[in-house]
Amino acid sequence: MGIARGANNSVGLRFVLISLLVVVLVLVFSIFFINSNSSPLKFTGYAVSQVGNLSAGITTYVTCNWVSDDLDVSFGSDLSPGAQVNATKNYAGAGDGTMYNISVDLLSNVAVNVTISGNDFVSGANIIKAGNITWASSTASANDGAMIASNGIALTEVANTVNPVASDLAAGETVHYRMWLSVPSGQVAGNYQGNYTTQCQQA
Amino acid sequence: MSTSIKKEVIVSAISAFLFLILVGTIVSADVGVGISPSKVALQVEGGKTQQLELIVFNTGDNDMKISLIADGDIATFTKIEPLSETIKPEPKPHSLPIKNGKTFVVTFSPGITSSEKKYMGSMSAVGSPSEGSQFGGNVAVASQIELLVSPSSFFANLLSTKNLIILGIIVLIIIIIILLKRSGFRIEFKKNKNK
Repeated sequence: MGIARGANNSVGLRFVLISLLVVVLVLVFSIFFINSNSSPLKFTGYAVSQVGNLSAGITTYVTCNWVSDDLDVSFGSDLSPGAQVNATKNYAGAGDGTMYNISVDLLSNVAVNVTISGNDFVSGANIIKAGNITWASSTASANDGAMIASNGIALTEVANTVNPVASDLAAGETVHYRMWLSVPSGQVAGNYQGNYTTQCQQA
Repeated sequence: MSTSIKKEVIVSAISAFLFLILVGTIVSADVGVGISPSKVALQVEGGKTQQLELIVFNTGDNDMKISLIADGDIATFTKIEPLSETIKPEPKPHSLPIKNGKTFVVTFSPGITSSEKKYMGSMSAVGSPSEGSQFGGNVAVASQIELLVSPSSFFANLLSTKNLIILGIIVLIIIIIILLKRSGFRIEFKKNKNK
């Protein structure tokens, strides 16, 4: 093997290039054959310290309880298209309070957010969109005046984290809610069924 | 009315009363679900698996079938075992440790990645105790999951300092050869005619 230059053979340039090749070869050699663990700059010795072992196992729980009324919400059976109706237990409690509520169990040791989502009402091929159901909630009381239809928030198909049912509930606290259904004008008659989900998770 | 008919009426009335009490008890039973831990942050290498055990328990009045579902970014690479369990209620008053809870094993298997990625999601324990209702309520509690997926060791090894230096040296050699050629030099192999 050789490096040759036609007419103008420059010894200086050849020297520079060959030197570069040597540097490269030395670099390759150093990477492959010099073990970094045997570096002369490495100092070894004994570190002496006294350590007191500390340990702590932290377990978090989130737990919610629902009353039976939450599980079977009905808006009635003789509804007219175009009507807005209350869920049947909206005002069935003491002092016209709502019967729908969710409470954070005393086992919970973290603050809890409650969100809601729901599916469309379906009757065969006919649908009432989930957004026709609105809800309002209160942690103040079961008959809080703020829980009225005009303050209702449309039910969404994915959990509504922008408008949670409740935020930062502590163990033992309760959130009350009411629901309303707006039956679209011209809606086909039928027995419609749907479902909704209320979910608790750490705030 | 004869005595026997009176007895039958009384027995029937008592039976009906007891039945109504029983039905009333069942209908008015509350439901409750809990999950632990409530929030988890995990780290896993892309292409490898990470397991997590979640305890799900029932703070309601009756047995309830509870399913565990993965939501969010983690849903596509999460396996749950078992998918659902019928869980007995915790004795009242509720207290720790959990007595009747069931353990669900969740396995995360994120794909190989060349860069660090954070996946957010939740594992929801869902009970559906209201089938047949006009607007049935499902109940759920969720454990928040934050999964940090680090670059796969394949990519990490590939991009190690040593390999980058070797790559640099190869590039340097190629540049030297190109410079030599441009300067009029040529690299050639010649057979030694003297041998």
